[in-house]
Amino acid sequence: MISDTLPNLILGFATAFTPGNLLWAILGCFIGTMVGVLPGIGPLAGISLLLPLTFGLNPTSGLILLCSVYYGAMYGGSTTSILMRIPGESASVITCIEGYQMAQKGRAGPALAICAIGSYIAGTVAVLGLMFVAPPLARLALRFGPPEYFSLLVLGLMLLGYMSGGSVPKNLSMIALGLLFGMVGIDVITGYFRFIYGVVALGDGLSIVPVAVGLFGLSEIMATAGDPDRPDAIKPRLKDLVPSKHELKVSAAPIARGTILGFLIGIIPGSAHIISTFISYALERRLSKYPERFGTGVIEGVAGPESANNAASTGALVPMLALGVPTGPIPAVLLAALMVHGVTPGPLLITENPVTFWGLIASMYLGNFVLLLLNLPMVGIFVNFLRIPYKYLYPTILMLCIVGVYAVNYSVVDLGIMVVMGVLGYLMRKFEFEAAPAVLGVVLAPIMELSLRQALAMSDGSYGIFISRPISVTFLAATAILLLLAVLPLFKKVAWREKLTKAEKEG
Amino acid sequence: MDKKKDPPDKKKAGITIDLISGAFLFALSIYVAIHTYVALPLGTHFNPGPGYVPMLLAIILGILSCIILALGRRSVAFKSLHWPGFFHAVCIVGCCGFSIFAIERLGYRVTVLIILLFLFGYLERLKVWAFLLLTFGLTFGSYWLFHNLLNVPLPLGGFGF
Repeated sequence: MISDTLPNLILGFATAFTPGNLLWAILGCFIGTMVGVLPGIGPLAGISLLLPLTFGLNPTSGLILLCSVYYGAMYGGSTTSILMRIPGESASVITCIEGYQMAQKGRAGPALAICAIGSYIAGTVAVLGLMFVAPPLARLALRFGPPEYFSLLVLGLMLLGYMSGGSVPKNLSMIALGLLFGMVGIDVITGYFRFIYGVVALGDGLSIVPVAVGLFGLSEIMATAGDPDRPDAIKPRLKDLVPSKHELKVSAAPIARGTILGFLIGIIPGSAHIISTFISYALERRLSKYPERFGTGVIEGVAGPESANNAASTGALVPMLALGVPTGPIPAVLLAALMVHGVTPGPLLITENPVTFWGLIASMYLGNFVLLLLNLPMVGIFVNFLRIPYKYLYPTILMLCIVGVYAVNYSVVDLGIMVVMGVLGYLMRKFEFEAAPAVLGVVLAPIMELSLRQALAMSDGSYGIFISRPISVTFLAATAILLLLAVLPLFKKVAWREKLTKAEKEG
Repeated sequence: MDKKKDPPDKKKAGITIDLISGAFLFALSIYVAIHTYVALPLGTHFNPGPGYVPMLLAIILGILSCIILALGRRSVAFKSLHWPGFFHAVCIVGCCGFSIFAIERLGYRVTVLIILLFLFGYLERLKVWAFLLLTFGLTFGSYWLFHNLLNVPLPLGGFGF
């Protein structure tokens, strides 16, 4: 296996180390960190808005830019958590607990440095995992027919409904609503127009960008634009950034554990990166010699969760690249980006587009290194972004939403979809619904419908085909178990779900 | 005591957010089911038509909305919802609505200029020099960035501007 991987990796590095791709990786990391630092944009809306910018690039460069934004944003969220006790994105909620306490004690610098080092190590090791897990998974997926794909998608959506915060029936209803949104447009098998109400432009269906920007970006601006200013940030000095020997020593094991946990949990659909931070924090507390100190500014409580968060972000790319199945809204937008560039993700991606796949892998090594170099010396600059009052920021973000969505298809109908989704997203926040299941429903609806109809055609209309094939029945059995588990919170409060819901609200 | 900081009232719920959202989703599922039945061929199990999956989804959504309705009393009261910045939200939606109408008629620059003038000047009451600087800087800066630097063509209005 190594003999196959090494030449491919060399090909990837040759692709990533061209001056153009290097520049896109650096730019992506910078923009991503800004997106993560500034509360109110978030990685999903950030990536969606940048999608049109990649149209002029080749698929590899475009994907390198978007992925750099992704992990830059995941890293950047920790800066506001530590310096302001505001999570830049949901996965940084746990970092608020210990990181801000450390900042209060004058140890903001070491907390930021450990975050950066942990994120670098976790990101790099997780890319190794991606390199070795994705190709065999893709080979396995070549055995999948329509019934297996349908069952896999049902399992993925059920996992998403179960693992996201909030109420499970509400999450599942959002998945159903998202799938219904995905039905808009021409039926690919019969050519019938569905739910277009005379608007011809809807024939192509609802594209992911206006839906994601509306549900996540516009609704966020609507919800926060009238809010009062945020508290001041603590500004660390560069010379204070160096952690002590003791801090480095006690952080090593939590970083290693967080990396492994994060990568494995990241592969699971749902709010995996958030869940991985909770589990890592709980694990570190349990293994600690002084668990009573947790909550007062313990560096292990920063190192473990931040590493887990970054490793989970990479883990989430495994099913997207190997199976063509996104596990969350961010991989879904990345998948859409690949398709815009004419690259079909899935089992054949690695063999048919080795330059794209291995170029991306190599750029991830590069991106993690760039993040480490960029973020520590420039933390002062990012902190200054936090001082910009929101009344200056939100009109700028709104302008970017408008131009970003319009430029995808040059269609005002897309702007209309964004507005409808923005209002829906705003109401969903108020009525405590999750937006992520709806977005994933929109993306997966066409594949899911096609798989179901093909499977039924294969079996002369018998649903028995789903339970007569071993891989399919395994997926469905797992779905049934999850369904039973999902019923539990209806009768009894489940601690991790309560915490997750709270974190997602704060994020 | 500041009303905004009151915890949501669960005991004297009355109409709750889940009752409202559950009822809305139920009504939606009924509408989709009727529309699908009337307008789209359902096909058969062997050869599912374009209405087959939407009908299936409408049924699933209907069942889930019934569960949400059944558990609806446990959620927070609709009255306890806070709507801070609602006026801002309405203005933002209005600006987006204006952009739909204007972007291809007036062009990108004029549309964004009007939106930013409204948001910075009227809604946020920035000082004249600040809002003029930001409005013109962002409008022309973003046009230059997207149109000139990144080769993303943006629409020109009827005036060729």
